[in-house]
Amino acid sequence: MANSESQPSGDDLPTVSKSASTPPTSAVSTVDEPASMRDLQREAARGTSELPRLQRTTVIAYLVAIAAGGLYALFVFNPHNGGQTVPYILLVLAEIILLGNQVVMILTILAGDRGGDSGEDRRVVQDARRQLLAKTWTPTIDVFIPTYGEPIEAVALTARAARDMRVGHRTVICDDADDPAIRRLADRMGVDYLTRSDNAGAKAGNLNNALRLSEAEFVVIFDADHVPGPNFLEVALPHFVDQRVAFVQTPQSYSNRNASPVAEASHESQRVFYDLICPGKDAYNSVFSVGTNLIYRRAAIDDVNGLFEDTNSEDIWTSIRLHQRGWSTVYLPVVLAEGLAPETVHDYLNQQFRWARGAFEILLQGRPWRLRGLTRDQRIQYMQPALHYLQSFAVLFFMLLPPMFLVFYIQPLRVDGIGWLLRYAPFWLLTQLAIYYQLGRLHAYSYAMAIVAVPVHIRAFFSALFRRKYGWVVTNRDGRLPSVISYMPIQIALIAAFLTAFAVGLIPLSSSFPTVISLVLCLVYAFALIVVVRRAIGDGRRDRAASRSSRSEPAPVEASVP
Amino acid sequence: MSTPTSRQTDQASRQTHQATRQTGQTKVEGSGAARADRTELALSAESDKWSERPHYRPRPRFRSLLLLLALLAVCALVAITQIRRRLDNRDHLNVSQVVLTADPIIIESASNGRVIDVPVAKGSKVAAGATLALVEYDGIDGPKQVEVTAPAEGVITDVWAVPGVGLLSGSDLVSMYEPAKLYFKVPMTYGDAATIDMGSAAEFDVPGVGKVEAVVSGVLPDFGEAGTKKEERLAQLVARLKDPTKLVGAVPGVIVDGTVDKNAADASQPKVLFGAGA
Repeated sequence: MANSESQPSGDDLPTVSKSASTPPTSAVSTVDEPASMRDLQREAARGTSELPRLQRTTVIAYLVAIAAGGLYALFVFNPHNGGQTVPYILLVLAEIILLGNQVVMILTILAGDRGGDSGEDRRVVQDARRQLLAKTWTPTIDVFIPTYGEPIEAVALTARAARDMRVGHRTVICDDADDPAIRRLADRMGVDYLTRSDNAGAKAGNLNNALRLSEAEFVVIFDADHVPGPNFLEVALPHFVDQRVAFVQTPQSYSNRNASPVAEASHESQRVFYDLICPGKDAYNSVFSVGTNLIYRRAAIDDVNGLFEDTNSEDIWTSIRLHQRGWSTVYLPVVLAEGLAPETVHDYLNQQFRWARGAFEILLQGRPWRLRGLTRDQRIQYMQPALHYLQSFAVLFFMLLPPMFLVFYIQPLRVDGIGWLLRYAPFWLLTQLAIYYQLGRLHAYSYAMAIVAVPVHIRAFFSALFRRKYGWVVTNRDGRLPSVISYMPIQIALIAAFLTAFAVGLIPLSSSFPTVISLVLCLVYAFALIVVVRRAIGDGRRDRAASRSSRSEPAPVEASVP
Repeated sequence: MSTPTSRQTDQASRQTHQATRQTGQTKVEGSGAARADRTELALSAESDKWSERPHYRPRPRFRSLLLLLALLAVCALVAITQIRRRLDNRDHLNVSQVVLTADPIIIESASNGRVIDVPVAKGSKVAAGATLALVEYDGIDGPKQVEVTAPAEGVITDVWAVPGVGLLSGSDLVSMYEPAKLYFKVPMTYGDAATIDMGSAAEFDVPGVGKVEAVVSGVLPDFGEAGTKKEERLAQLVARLKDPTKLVGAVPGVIVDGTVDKNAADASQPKVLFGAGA
């Protein structure tokens, strides 16, 4: 897979010692940092693999889910079962998206379960870690924190944590907003500060600017609201012992997940991605960079002429180029940094829009199915994010079916609701069950948030299709929230539509069981939307109250910085 | 994920949690401080930077508001029309494709023989007992002439008997219908039919005649056919004319619209699907 001509020479890397079988305790005894020692022991106790093992129940649930999905597909795609023509065709399209996404997702997740296969790699990584801790391998490391108007206290927290990571490195705040407060903060904390005259290329441009001014072998990137633990470098860096590795990505985890149900929902949906999907992507050597909590090998970035700038999803585009050039990538499923999830509905939708837009750009403009230099698996994996967000089209269609039935008697299938439910329920329940088995919980609010994000994803699709301009905005930015009507008009209208359908459905021309199911579904959807819209209204109220109180009693900034 | 991994993860998150909690306290003061910095910045020459920041702006508020109002208006419109239609349909059903139907009476030969004379033609009106045909049946003691008569007052629809032609027992001679027994066949779903009482009033708009009153008298049985789709099966509700003389002369097969009440004046009437036959 690796293109040997494009690889850097390995002179600067530690040679793997022959004493690989030496017990870790004796090998690490020379290390003078007891904390690292503990980390190592803990890591050693994790067994032969650094990748999480899928539970057997999860695997079985997924295998049965594939069978149930197949049976359901046989039923739905049989034209004999079709009802009215246009709704049936739409239903088939929606099912292709849903089933296609589920198949890709299940295959990815199952591929992520590699059991003990990577034991060999791990010994090498452990040796490299020992050399790193023993300071016999001393790579140069730069830690970049790109900022652009994020709240100063978040930047301070990240910069301090980045500065205090073990293993020698330099920390640089790359401030695109040229904020004197951030500059003072950097001075006080003893980290470097970098700004530039323009904002060309947004975040990627900012980082490329920093890369030009740095000569470090390894570049670590943390968004301003992602706080690394002190062990970040020790755990992640040794994976670069494999010369083909271009970057090591670690998961995003949210420390503020208890701050609001919105943050909790973000956290839960992120877990599906980082705990289940990413290990599978790693198995296909197609993990993409998510732009934070990762280490790049400088030679790799140089090999693709810097981070890709002409987009807002620079991280994925850069990953594609790296994979095209034959580099390999590592996903490390260990939480080494804690970030901030969006706490308000507005910020959540904004983030969803950005991510969906990035994923659709890859699909529509990147055309992963014909990218040169990628394996077929990698091409599929680069389509997976877009496929995930495309599901929103299908979800919208399925959400609108009950009201359409109640009001206009539209039926895409010839069978009644029960006949459909009996065939669909096993498949849906099994996929949810598998997630429950693996992650330990299902979070109702996440489902509500997913429903609310549907119109946003659809908008992101058309925005990417017509290449509309839009800038980059930080997730937890300061400042007043706009009115709920301005960012959730469709969601509010959907509530009205569901309630209307419910009212109309109460006067049925002929009442039957499908009518009852549809009535219940309408109420459930309306309820989910109302809960989130109410939350958004509350966000706005809290935001106004906060900005009033902060105006009345300003506090000195020095207090918040050590 | 194996237990030791999550333990380490937990520990890492706990560390950061503590860190966040510490700053969480300062955050309250700090957020004000950040704003103070901003006001300071706004006074400086670089203040333009903030306003120039490119960012994803939600749609301008008035456009969102218009969109929302338009969507709400659509909802309201659909609700009003649909609810009104359904309330309308609550007591009666609007029906269409109703067929004015006559049951054919086919007069057959009772025995072998031959036709001697046919005094009626297609379309002629006959009184009850009027001669339709004169036939000669073969008997043990030689041929016997018999007059075939009309069983009721009616209209001749077909004449197959031709003078001089031989007959077998059961050969069709003449077909006719009784105008006094015309009825309306109302196609509707079985679901709708189940809501209608026996004896409910119905009203149909017959071209050239005007409103004609009828009474629901049952449902024609449908034994179905192999391969008939469920939703293509329709109940054929039967509504008999209240005043049969009103439609004397009307041509069966005419397709009309009308309404059928759901409830009969007599509350003891069963629903059509379970009531007496047509």
